[in-house]
Amino acid sequence: MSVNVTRMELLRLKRLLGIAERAKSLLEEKRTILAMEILSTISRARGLIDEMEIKLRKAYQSFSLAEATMGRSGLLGLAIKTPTRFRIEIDRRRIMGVETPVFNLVEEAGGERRASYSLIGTTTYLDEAVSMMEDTLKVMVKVAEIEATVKALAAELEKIKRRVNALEHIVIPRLRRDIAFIEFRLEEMEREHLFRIERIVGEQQS
Amino acid sequence: MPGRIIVIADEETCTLFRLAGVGETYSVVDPNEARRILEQFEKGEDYVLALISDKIASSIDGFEELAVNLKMVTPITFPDRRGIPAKATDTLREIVKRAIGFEVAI
Repeated sequence: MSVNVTRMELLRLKRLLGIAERAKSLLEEKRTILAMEILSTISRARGLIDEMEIKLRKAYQSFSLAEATMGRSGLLGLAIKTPTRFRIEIDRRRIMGVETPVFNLVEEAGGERRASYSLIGTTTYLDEAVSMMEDTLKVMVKVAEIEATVKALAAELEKIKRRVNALEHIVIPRLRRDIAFIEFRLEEMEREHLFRIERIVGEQQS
Repeated sequence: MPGRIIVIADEETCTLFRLAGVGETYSVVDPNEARRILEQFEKGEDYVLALISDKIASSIDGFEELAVNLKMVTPITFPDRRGIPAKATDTLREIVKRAIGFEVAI
């Protein structure tokens, strides 16, 4: 064991042990708060997923009716001509010091749906399906935001868990062992010193 | 930061998304192709929101594992026209299970 057996080293290690124990307790607190944050974030997911499924079902129903009226090839032809209208814009926000994404559905400028197909020759079922899909997209983006947020929080939680484990199982036990070793050696040295003094005094007296 | 939306589904569903204004649609049948598309986007520089039909997602081997490990792609699954029950919660459940250590009902 390569430890300096001095009182200065003992004081330094005791100070380090105090810091390590405080850090561990703070990290444990942060771990609990992050776990609660994850649970509260996913509690919002269920409602959004249900909403997504209901809207999708309605969109599919209207789409099936549009397909029956206009034919699959007719819809495919319109779809090919439809320009891309949506993209996402990602902002960042911080939760407990963790950077999490905020997704926004952005409509491209000039990407008007009406311009992509004529009202003549198309059915209102198609309009309904498209309009419902637009609503669904908004919900899907919110679901994605929740998933990405939970992922970011979970990654941070993993990091904290590793740090707590390292402190609990490696750093703190090692510091305690070194402290115990130095204390034992210092006591031993003190006993040796006392023994020497007693022996010198004894020799002088005899 | 701008991001893209892509759809990986059967042809009919892709048509519907295209009509709604999502331009990047991938009509796939082979689950390996779907996996390749996701992995390709993961290597890219753009952030991607990937909307994948449940049917395709569930046919990809170890989809939850893949979804949890993707950094540049956020995959969201949705039921297709055949009405297969949604698996959208599976990825979330897997992430939470790994982070907290137990399964949470979503």
